[in-house]
Amino acid sequence: METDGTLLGPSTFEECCALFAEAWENTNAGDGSVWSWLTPSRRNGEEHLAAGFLVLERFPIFSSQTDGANRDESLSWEREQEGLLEEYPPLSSRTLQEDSAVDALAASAHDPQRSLKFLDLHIVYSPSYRVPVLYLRCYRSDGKELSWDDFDGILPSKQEKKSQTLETFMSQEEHPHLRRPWFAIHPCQTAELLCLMHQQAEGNFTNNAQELLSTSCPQSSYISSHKTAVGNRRSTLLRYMLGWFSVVGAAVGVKLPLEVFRQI
Amino acid sequence: MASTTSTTAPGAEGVLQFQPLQSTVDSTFWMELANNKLEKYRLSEEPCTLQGYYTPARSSAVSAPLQLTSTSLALDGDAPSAAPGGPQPYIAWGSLYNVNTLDRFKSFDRERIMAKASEEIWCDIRSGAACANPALLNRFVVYTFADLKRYSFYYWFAFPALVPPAPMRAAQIGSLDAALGADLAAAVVQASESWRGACTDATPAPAWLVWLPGTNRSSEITASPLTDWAALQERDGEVILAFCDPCNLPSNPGWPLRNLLLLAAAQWGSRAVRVVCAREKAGRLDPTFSLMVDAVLPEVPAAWPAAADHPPSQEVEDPAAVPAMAVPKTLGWEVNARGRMGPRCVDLGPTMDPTQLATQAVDLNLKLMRWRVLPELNTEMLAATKCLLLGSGTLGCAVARTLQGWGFRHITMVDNGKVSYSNPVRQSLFEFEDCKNGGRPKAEAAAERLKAIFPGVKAAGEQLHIPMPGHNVSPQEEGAVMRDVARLEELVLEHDAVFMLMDTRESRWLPTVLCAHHEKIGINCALGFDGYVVMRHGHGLSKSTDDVAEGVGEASCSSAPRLGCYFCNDVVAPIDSTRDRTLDQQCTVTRPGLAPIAGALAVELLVTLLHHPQGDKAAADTASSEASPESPLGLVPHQIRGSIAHLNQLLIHGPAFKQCTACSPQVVQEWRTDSQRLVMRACNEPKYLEDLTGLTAMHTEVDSAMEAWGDEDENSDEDDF
Repeated sequence: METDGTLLGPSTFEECCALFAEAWENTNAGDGSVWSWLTPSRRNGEEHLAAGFLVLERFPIFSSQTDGANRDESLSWEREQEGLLEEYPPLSSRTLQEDSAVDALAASAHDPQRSLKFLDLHIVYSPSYRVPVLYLRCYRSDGKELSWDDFDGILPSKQEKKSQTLETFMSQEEHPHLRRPWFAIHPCQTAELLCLMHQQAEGNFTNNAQELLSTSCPQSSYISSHKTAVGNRRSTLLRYMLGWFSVVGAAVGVKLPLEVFRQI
Repeated sequence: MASTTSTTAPGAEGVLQFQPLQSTVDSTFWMELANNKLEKYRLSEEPCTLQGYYTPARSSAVSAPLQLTSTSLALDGDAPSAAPGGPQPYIAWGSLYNVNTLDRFKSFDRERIMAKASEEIWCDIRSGAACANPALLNRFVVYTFADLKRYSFYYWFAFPALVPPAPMRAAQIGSLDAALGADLAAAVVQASESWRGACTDATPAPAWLVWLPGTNRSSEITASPLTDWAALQERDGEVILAFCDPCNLPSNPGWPLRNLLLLAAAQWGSRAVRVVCAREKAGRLDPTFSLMVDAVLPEVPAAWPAAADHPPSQEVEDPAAVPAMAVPKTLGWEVNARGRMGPRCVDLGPTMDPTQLATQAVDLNLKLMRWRVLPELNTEMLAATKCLLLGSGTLGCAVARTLQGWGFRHITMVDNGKVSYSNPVRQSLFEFEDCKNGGRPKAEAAAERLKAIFPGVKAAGEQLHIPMPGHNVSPQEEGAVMRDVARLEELVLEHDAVFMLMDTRESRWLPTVLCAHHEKIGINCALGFDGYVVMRHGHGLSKSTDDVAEGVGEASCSSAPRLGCYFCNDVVAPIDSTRDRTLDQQCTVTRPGLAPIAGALAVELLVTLLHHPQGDKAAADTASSEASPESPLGLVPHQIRGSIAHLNQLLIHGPAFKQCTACSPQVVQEWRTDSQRLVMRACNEPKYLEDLTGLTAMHTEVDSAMEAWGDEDENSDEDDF
């Protein structure tokens, strides 16, 4: 069986992703953004990876803070350059001064689109932990990626809870398929977390969550014990994915609507 | 006129205002552009064709931008390359003008490229080509300058919109299902989707017609290409124009509608047309999100615009460039990030520059240590601490590598030797090649290798001979020696911590004096055959307070006693230790594992010390301080003595010796009075330092005491001493 006695095998991961993407799209969870399954050609030594990964691109997020222009040297340099270049040569009568055009919407200073950033989210299978891992990057509309420090101010987990620092759950890792550094949510506690969620759902939840987290979840208890019927399997896998994403997604400000859980 | 150009809710006959398209450029596009610039375009400034992608608006919060990705430039293949995720996007064709210098960018004739694009659009409208292929209406231009040294890019997009003889107006504007009713709206959406689904072209047409049957409602609603306009007019019913609308706003259509409406007015002579602004939700056209606009169009005569509107250009380089027909005025330059007319600039160094990538990765690795284990770890402080490494041999290499591991960014290597054939196997910064032709200077080779390992380090190498007590200096040599002394003093001043990693004892004397004088942290590291000493020197002697009281080991007041230096345990001055040795004794005879151990300990000691609240004035921790060390990194001992033969390690501490030949107030005071005299006499007069510090007097006292004692007990064996 694909689960080969552990939490999640590579092919079960693919199945999970398909179910998750479908539930997401059915409920318009991403306000129009949809997941797609990407299958890059595998190189030698990548046989242990899943055949592909799930991708959500250009998910718009708005940050309350503008750009962190005070801290970011590179950014203030850019603004300075732009300021220098605004002295453009005057236009002849044939090309209109844009600001005088009556039928073009002028960009206003408080245009929300200016504090707009985009998130790329990748759900990638981790062969070591046998769980899904969320990789992400965030960038501005000119393609510039946000640095760690900029990220810090944008994510809700940072804005809301001062005690929870970015670094407790996120780090920079090499993307297993793209071989470039990406931000990632640590997979290390994922298995325990899901184990905990599952037990809670089953009503076995003990009050002593700490104890559960510290003792390792018995192998395969989550999925293989549920491979009874086909329908049951579908809902088990989907619940697994939604449960997982409800935690990691929220950490980066992507929340699941309630309706999506009705898809289980 | 002004009264009718109200910008708020376009009521009856209000001017229709369009939301400009917004560009968004993926970093992969810039990487591709940089590659092409280096390998394909080189110095050519010929325009090349671009493929931009856009979609209907999919989110009520943001409009869909025009996007460039890595595939936007890859137009060698015949089929348009795979576009970014999600359903197939629409394609807009663009022209890229990449110039070679920032000056060319600044003086770039952007009017010319705008004029060229608008002429093409206008010709396509008049000729009917745009009817057959509405994507031609969405041409755009962008001019760029790629600063590949800085990995920064300057660019300015324009989405040319031809300005009609009079503004377009909207008689009515609202959501599609409100305008048509839910059933009809759903049918319009359905027809549009199946038409698009049936379209086999690689690039779907971004505009189409929807025919609503008239009195005879039994016919089905159908969608068809723009070329069917005339045919559909013959039928009983209503023809609606539809287009892919990237705008998200509830009462404005997006930019692509401008040229499309001009086409309707100019080609079809329409004075009023209903338009579906098609937008998506959850991957499907959505009747509530999509808009219906009842547009009122101006009359566009066949002879418009008059040629007189178009002043002949002053500088006609190429007669063929003069347009065959007059072209309307155009607008469409994009505003910059500050909302002003001007180009944009993006610095992609952090994403594209390998050096910056390495720096981020190194920093992140250290930050992980802070986050996971040591919240008090001050990596910024370590990065700012400047380290001077005196000696670039086995110890120097080991110390430098460990400093790099900790994120130190300023490392200066000093040595006076050259890399020899025996070095590379023990000295981790050298390779066989460095030994050839007499060998490269060690300090320079080591600094270069540090930068090769991590380009973010500021490493320098300095070939310098350090004068040593007991090594005679002839009067002719004096000038050169004093220049070396001056340079060494400069180096010590420029740095925060000085590592003494030489292979002789006496070469550590002058640096020890300098550290005491300039109050720098001194870390000493010395190897025997199978044992090592790693120690920190006591803090320096402040220039402002009275040295004598503070300088000696006895605790003067509440503070801990000043700790000793490498020479404090000695009762003799350093002398030339190489003079009477055979060649094999002069080579470093030490077990190869020792230098890495001792070098690493030396760096760890410095890092722990730097985190101690008292810094180099920290009292010596002993093994018994283990329970609650003051530095978050652990114990800050004075000396670590270890043996690899016995596999043990001892923490030892000793106060500064008031007659020390290197760090005592007498020596430092003499340096401050006349440094040249101190150095020259120390080099040339074997007894000088002992006289200066009072050691001679002490010896005499001890001798006389011994004699007195010997007189009392004549049977004792004097050789014991």
